[in-house]
Amino acid sequence: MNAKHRQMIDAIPKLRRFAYALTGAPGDADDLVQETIEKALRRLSTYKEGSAMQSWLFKIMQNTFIDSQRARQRRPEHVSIDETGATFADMKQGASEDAVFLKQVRTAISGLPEGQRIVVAHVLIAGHTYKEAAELLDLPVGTVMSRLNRARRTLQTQLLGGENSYV
Amino acid sequence: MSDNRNYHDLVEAFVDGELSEDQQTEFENAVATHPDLAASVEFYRRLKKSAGEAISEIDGEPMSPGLEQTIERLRQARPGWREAVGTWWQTFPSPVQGAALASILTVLALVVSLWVRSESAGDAPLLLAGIDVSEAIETLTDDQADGEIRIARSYVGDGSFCRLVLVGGESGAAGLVCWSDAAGAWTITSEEAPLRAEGYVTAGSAASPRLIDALDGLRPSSPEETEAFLVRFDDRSTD
Repeated sequence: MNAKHRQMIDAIPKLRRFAYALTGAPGDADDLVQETIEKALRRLSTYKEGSAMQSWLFKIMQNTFIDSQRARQRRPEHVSIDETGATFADMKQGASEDAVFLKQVRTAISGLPEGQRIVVAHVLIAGHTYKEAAELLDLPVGTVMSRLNRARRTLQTQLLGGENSYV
Repeated sequence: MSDNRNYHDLVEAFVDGELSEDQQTEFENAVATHPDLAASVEFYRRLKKSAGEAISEIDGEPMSPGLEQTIERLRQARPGWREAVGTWWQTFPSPVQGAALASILTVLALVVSLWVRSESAGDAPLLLAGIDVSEAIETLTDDQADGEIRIARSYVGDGSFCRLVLVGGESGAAGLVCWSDAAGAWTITSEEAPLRAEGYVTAGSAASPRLIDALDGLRPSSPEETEAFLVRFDDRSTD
């Protein structure tokens, strides 16, 4: 197996999580990972030896996602947790309180505006620093921080039902 | 940072590990004496942890058949020639013989590669303000940058595909570089110092009449058209 191909395979679990945070659905996430890998294979000649393969793949994925969002009509920017019926459905199935909360977190993340969701995926899910996220997004660090702040406030409002007791 | 409000502004950076060592120590001292700050830190920590846990749910999900196939293709791929050559000579009975043969083949490969390059001298570099944009033009998507080179937008015409290239930032240059199917080559149609990048992107009032003339008859390419066009070049250059 080619060393670069091996690096791509090693990166897939992280890419799946990143894609899941972006798309909000496992099937869409896998489609995005697949498209990213196939694009990376076609562009392998442009990959700079010695640079971080994972960062390169994250960048391809994020750009692919942005392009796909621009190409199609974007989904509504906010999805109300109440509208998903997640809480009641899960409680009927005996899901634990934690599982319900995690589902609410997922729903709230997928309801964030695209720009905020991408920053959340970079910092909260992929574990990138503000500087790394800024470089991958070609944005100033300050913009990354402000988008992250807005995203967290939105998540807080969604998850606490409008309470604002912590900040 | 004596003001409690200032500490609240640092909660996110603290939770994300972005504070300097000194700031972190000071912040931790403040958390110990400010219950509201401690509650805020606790909430953001829980949010970050929950976000990670919520998303890692996909680890337990079966992969789609399409992704499985892609991974299998990666597994089945043969090593590139560099890797193959890297250890191949070690299989010879005598390492000296193997190394000698490998050296001869390397020299031969170098000669052949130089010959091929001279034969394809028609692929001359596309210089925009002294910067070679030949590779970027065939690899970057719209609004994507590589170092000093940025592709602002792509345009489609009858049998041509043009890309607006910005090089060297605000003090650099802009150029419309077009591929002609008939000629099978790239040409720089219009080149000049940019006035404002946004003006060039929209071909609005900030763009020069020369550039607007060059764009005449072209329409902005859709992301799908641009992607399809780039794939043509990717397929040609994939190793």
